Amino acid sequence: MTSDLFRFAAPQAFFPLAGKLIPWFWVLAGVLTLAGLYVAFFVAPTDHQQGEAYRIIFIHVPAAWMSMFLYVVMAGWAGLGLALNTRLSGMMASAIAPTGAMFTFVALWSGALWGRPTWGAYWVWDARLTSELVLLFLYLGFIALKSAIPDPVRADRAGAILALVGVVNVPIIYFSVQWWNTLHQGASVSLTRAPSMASTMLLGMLLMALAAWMYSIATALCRVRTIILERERDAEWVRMTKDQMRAAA
Amino acid sequence: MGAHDEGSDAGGGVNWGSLSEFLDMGGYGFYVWGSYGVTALCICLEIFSLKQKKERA
Repeated sequence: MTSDLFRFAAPQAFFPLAGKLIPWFWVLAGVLTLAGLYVAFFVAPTDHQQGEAYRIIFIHVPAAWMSMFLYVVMAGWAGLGLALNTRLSGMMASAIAPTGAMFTFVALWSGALWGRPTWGAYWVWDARLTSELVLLFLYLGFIALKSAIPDPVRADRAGAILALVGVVNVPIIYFSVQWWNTLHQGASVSLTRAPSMASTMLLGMLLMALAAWMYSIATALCRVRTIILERERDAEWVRMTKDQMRAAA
Repeated sequence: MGAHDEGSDAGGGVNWGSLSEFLDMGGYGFYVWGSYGVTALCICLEIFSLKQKKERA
């Protein structure tokens, strides 16, 4: 079992495996998105306080969850690469960053458009909003730092340190609504108490969150494949794979 | 939750009487569609850039 896992830690073994998995994750992402949108607009009832404006939740909450979760996964891969010197780890971290940044932007954007009708302001310098903005800067800094260092080994190491230091921001985002007086509402879903919303609303949110997961896996795997081809371009198997891909296209 | 049965009636939970009502989102159309639209745009841009990178690799 462990030897199998380590076998796929080699880019050469991981590349075809990722290629086989990607279409499945795209299909799952598509089906879950359609189901989620259907529940979000046609099953979930109108909110008695916020009217239809609350339907932004089906975008906002999954995006915010993914933004934090992807950062932790990215930092985890980066840290693993730093500790074990595995080539694939740094590539995985690089592959996750753009998708994480995208979800962070979506969380901020949808939050702004939700804040205007409910709080009366697109933006406030509130603890939750500010720490989420810092998360966006951490993602962008990670991407910029890595692309600024031409040597991939050093880029991976520098990126890993930034990612690991920045991980402290994730619990700050998560607990900001408890630690400070904020405009932002507390968690709607918790493992320890019953959800404070209608079950169809919760279902829509969970479907959209699952879709975001599948989408993130698909994009990360796609991206890591192109990174592998770039970084290992001098390897014999990459040349052969490229020839095969060209012949198939 | 007093009148929460409004949208979850027997007709499969139909919230909207017409397309214009759907697009209006109870007056919040700009905010709701602004969120969903920009999200869709971001996803399209990401998929497009992935495709381009793949072709260049």
